[in-house]
Amino acid sequence: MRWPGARRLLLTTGLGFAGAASAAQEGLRLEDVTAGSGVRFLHDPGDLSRFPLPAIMGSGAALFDADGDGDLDIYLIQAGPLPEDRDGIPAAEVPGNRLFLQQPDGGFRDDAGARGLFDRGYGTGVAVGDVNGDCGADVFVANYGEDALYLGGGGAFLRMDPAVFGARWSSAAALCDYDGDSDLDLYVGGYLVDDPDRDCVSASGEPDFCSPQSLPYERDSLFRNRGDGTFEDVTGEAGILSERRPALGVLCHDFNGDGRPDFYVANDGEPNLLWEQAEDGTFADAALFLGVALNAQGRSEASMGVLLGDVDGDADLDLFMTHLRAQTNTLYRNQGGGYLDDTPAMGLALPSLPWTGFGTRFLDLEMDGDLDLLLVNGAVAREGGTPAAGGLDVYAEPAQAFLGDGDGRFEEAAVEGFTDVRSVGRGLVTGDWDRDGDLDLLVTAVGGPARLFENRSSREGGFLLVEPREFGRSSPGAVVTLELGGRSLVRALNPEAGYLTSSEPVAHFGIPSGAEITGLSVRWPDGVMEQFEPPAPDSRVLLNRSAPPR
Amino acid sequence: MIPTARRCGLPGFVLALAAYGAFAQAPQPPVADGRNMEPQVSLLLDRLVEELRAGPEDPAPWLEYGETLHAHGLVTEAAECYRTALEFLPAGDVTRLTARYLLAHALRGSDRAGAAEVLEAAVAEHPGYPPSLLFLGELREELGDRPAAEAMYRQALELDPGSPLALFRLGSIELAMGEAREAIALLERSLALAPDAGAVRAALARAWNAAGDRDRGRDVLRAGEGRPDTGLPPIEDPIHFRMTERDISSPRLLERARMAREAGRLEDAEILYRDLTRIRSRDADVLAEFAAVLDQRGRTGAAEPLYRDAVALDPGQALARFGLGVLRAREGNLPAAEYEFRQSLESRPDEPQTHAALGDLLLRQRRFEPALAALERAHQLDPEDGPSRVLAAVALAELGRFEEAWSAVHEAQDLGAEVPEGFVTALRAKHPEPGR
Repeated sequence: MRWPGARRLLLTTGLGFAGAASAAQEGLRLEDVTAGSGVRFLHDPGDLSRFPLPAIMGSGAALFDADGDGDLDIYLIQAGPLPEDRDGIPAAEVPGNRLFLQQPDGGFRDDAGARGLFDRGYGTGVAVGDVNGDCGADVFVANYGEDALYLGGGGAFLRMDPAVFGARWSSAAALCDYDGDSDLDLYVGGYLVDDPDRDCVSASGEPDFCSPQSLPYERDSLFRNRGDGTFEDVTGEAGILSERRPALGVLCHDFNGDGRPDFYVANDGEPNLLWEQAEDGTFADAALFLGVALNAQGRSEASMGVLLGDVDGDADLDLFMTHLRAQTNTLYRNQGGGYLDDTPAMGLALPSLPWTGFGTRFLDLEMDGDLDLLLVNGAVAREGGTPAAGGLDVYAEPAQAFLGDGDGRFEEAAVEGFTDVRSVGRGLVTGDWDRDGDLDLLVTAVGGPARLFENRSSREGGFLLVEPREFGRSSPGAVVTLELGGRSLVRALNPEAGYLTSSEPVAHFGIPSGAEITGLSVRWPDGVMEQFEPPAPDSRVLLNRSAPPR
Repeated sequence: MIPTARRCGLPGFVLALAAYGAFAQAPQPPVADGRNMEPQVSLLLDRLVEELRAGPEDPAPWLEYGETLHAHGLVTEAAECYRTALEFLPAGDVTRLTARYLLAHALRGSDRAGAAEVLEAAVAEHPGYPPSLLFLGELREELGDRPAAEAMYRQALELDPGSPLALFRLGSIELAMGEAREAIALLERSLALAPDAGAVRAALARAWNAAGDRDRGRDVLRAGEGRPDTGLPPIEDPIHFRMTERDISSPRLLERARMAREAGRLEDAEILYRDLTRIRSRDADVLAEFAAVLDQRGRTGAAEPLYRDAVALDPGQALARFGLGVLRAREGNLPAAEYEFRQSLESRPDEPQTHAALGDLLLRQRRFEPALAALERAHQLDPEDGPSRVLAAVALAELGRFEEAWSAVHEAQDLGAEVPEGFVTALRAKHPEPGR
């Protein structure tokens, strides 16, 4: 019988400890500029009194140009009353997602739904890309409930609500051209089949949020773009129906270098999946084989935020994921043909032990060419204490920053304005919204305000922002390599990387002082390599593909 | 005190002070907040605290108290108790190994370095217990010291050459250190001993991949298809079992019972549910789930009274109603079965299996329209249930809706369900099979 499965009680563990460097890293500063920015958004997770699991998982956000004026706008995903609590609430009173348009003075103005992106679903994730080839941004909203696709054009967004997307608990989503036909297809992670009547307790018997292992798993979905922005569900024929696991993170990337994009899926408490695409367009899981399904001890982990980045300077992309408290975050080092969980050696294990990591992004905070790592934390189970009625204070945790040395070692650092704030952190989005050459941040939190951080770190060197484009749109899955004399800096273009978010689709490089740009190339998602003229530093360049498709 | 010391000289003064010091330092047990715990648990904790206060230098109640706290997630308090127990355990007492092992487990989630230190002491004092070497190796590995971990794993393997876990750990670390061929040899031995350990199979496949033979690696994974997956090799570790089997509160016991049931370990599930019913004798859900396990084990005679008890306690207990419905259907009492299924649906209207069972029942009674309605609802709720599509095909065919019947047949086949050849032949005779 498919009755509700076993309850698993989340064990609360020992006390956390401070961990981070006590003094702020000199020169690094991420300033919370929310107050004066015009961005006023408070995430509403719904009624917490029954500890509904969707409420603690949080919602994401996106940074993209919504109105085609060349600057980055902010789209924040709202949750609101849970679907089972919406009977009797007039639709107009259900809070919806919010779009904040950047103004010429750098501030933001609430669009108040004028452009039609006011989705009122119980929002989880978001993916942005041009799906209908009209050079405008389109937005896919993943919901706990009915997903929605909004096609942008002429300054407005029209909700396309084809039955094909269905209604389930969707989490992460990734837009990429997996079949090489020049349009963006869609992979949507399915999380769980919730049971609102399920009551769960912690190990000590106190009411708490359920563990995902206590609920049936939802399936993922793959939708192929027909070329006009309409989609067909090809999950079954692609072979992806063969596994059902609770997905929280999705990456689209050509992991095996065969010119066919693959999908990596981070699953909560179950082995992760790496769907390798075969020549006939079907997929088979290679995660166990390649060493990215389990950790070094052979165990599944929580797996929330997921990233690709070259952390050890060997010109291939390594894989990083955030996990629960008492599990360390995991970094799989790419060894060429396989991966190795090398987290302890990289300095990322012990500092992550007290916290539950979610949103995360690689970025060059020091602008020295090496990737650094930011992440936001927030618990999903409480460790002692009783929250105030409906309150979430016992779940709040600090954000973290790790500075990379380019050789695969990270050291935790205090970053003024960022790591000293506690929240139930979920989404972390990056983008250069103030157009000053460094990456700024947008952070979401369960039951908390969205926060905008301007990167005001001092820097000595320069920068380069690269936006690869093909077929008139950005190219998710592309890999950009910058040559600085004998050194190669590699950046993957995965706006969907992280947790439930969509970041600005640019490859950002910090150029160390004195370094000369000697080469620039793009490996397009279909595996074709193209060289470009080395640009001048301190610039933003659009690289339009001229190489023919494979 | 001082006048006594003056009379007795310095040693007496020191002794008096020492006595005063000992009295002042009697360890106090941490007191857990038991307000939200099950009554039998908070009573047990209270009893243990009283025992400890009465005899604070007896290590046994400290250990028991610590384990109870540990079982309920209060690991910081548990660690405190284990440390106190260690203070009172004499050197050479093997219980010191148990106490240190448990302490290391309590510390592991927050202080791996501290946990490793504790285990180092355990291994130094009791070097002949392979599980503590394996645990220490794991911690060393997690702390980034692969050579130290390797040494621990080798020692464990020397003590227990037939340990699949030791072989797996050593093989994995050899793989991490780039020794793919050595890893393969170790992991193959581990897999031979624990063929259902998916983690071993995965590591071996990875090792073949690292050695340049991807095909061999894929073969290893393919050989595991269809096998149950136990994850890691079994742990031959009495202390670990002692720690994890300590279920004195029903939330954990219920969790384990349900996990065993979901995993198909029905014998384990039966034992656990039996224990549960002693604690929760009037919990309708527990009774119904216990009955379902007995039912699945073919012991319907034992299951039925439990279903009835569950319904007596909670007339809306959907699982019990469903179970009774199945029993009545097996007996051929279809009207009674229908009644039970409909009662079940009153409480859980979106349970696809109940709709499917009801549809099956109605089909047998040749009530095709309502059967089809129930089966369509089952399909809506669970689109991947192939057998209910087969039944729907039958209902549609009986209603003369042959094209739709063929669609249902094809859907069932796509879902991997077996469609009786006789039915397909009969349907073909009525209406040609449309092209796909």
